[in-house]
Amino acid sequence: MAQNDKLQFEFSGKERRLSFTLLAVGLVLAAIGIFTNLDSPTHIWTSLLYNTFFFVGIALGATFFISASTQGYGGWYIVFRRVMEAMSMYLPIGGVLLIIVTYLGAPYIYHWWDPAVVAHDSILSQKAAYLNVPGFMIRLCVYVIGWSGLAFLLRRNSVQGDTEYTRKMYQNSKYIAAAFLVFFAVSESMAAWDLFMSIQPHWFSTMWGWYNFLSYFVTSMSVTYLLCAYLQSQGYLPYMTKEHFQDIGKFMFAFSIAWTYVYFSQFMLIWYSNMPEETIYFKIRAAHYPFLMWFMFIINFITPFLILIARGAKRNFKVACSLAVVIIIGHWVDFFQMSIPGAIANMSHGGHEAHYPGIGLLEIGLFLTYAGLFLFVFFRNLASVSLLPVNHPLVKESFVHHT
Amino acid sequence: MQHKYILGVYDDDDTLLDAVKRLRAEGYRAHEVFSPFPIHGLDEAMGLQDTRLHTAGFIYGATGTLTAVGAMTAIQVLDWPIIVGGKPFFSLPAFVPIIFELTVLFAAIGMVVTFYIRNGFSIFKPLEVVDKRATDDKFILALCCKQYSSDEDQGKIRSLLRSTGASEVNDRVMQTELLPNLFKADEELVAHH
Repeated sequence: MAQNDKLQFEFSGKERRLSFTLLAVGLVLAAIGIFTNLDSPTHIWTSLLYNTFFFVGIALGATFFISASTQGYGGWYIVFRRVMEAMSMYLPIGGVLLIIVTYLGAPYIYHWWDPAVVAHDSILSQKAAYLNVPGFMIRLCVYVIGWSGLAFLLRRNSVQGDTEYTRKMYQNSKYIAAAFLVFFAVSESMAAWDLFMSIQPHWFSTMWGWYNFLSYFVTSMSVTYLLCAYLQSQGYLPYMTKEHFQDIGKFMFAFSIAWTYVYFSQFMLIWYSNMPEETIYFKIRAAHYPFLMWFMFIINFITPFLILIARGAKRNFKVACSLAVVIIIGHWVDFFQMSIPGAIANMSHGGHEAHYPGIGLLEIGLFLTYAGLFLFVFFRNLASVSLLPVNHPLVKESFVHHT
Repeated sequence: MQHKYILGVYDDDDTLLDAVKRLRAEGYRAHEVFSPFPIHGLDEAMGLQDTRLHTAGFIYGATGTLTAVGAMTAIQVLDWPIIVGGKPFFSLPAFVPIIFELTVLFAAIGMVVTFYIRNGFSIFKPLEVVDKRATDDKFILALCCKQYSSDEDQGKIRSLLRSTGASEVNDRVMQTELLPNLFKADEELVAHH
């Protein structure tokens, strides 16, 4: 191959500085946020929970994309497959953090965690067969082990192919991808119920799993766009053309609409049937976060829809990267509003006098901390292997990809 | 009125793509290409302008959106207001499914009709096929003799087509004219002829 010189990513001082700066600034801001919010442990722990999960979700989205493309004989993504693999390698670390944060924070986040509350609550007692503390922790561990284990196997399979690619490896990659897809289809929905829907355990929505998944999948595609654009600006991935970027942009565009579809459907059905046990979810948010609800809708739907619809926008780094940042922020706000209002309302028993926090230093600090950690893990894993799976059977197809 | 075309018949889409590029480099423009399936990158190789069909689609979609909002307002608010579940007469969330459906419907039908008109398709018009094998396993490259009327040009085109791997080079006289394509402005080609 002609571009042999830039096939190995070097984790240089620049990237190190970037991730450590993010980590340090984030930690300082988060510490300030924690000290100013000491009176509300619910706020602190719920922020930690959703920020931890947000980045696990980005890694999950990458793993899902690799698996789905492997299973669907996708060839065009091979040129940036290693980027997504490196993203998926955040899963074990993020997953362990998620288990720790959830276990420590659960008494402040989930009001069903307290057996005394469950005993006096007929709805919660009926749900106790599923929604109980040991069951919750066991399930969480199973999700994390399953996700990171299968992501690890997928990556190992791909890296082994760099020395010699056999037919058997291609077969195996299909088996692993299929196993991940089946496991993920069930576990992403259940993880969404466990981690976020059970914050308001009296309320339920059958669209919750999809809504959660689409929110972090579109974020994951935006992060991929940003990282690939960054790597290309540093002289890596020279064989990645605008055609590949346009197709990632299509995913950003399409899944912004898919997210809106599910989010709006969930809202409209609840709004239309107007049953108190369902409307409570939106009542809290409309009463205390009216701005966020509309803001999120505008930056997660209207902006990507009207701008990314144009072909030129998806091929223009400046436009598409700004949009990627907007989508990432939008879905981070989405996770904020799906967790914090419910937790505050439920943990303050009715929540009429409760103080509903906005997005402050705590949230921003935690986001930057995790972003720093994520980038560090990403760059390390990216540097450990070749940037191109050179022996992959579909690599030629990816090179000549044309939309 | 008779229209004369030179047809290069190719067996493979990659050969055809290379031939189109080669012709263009020599200063000749493929008037039209007929293929059993879409060939990626062909529009770029031919130097075609980006299609404006999607702009038309956006306008049709926006028309559908406005029609739906207008119609629902006229029906539900102005003409025959009915109280449903205590909701206001003008309830946007309830209108959204209708807005969505009409947007899709207008965009889809509008684009199909535009496509048909632009390409001269009609159910009332017998279709003159350039070469029937283009719907099966052959790839046809057509050059317009009106554009390249001199014998020198035509001879050069024929030899170019053969040298780029055409299995046959045919002349075709058609009663209907192939619709002109919109090419990108290309200084070099204009200067050559």
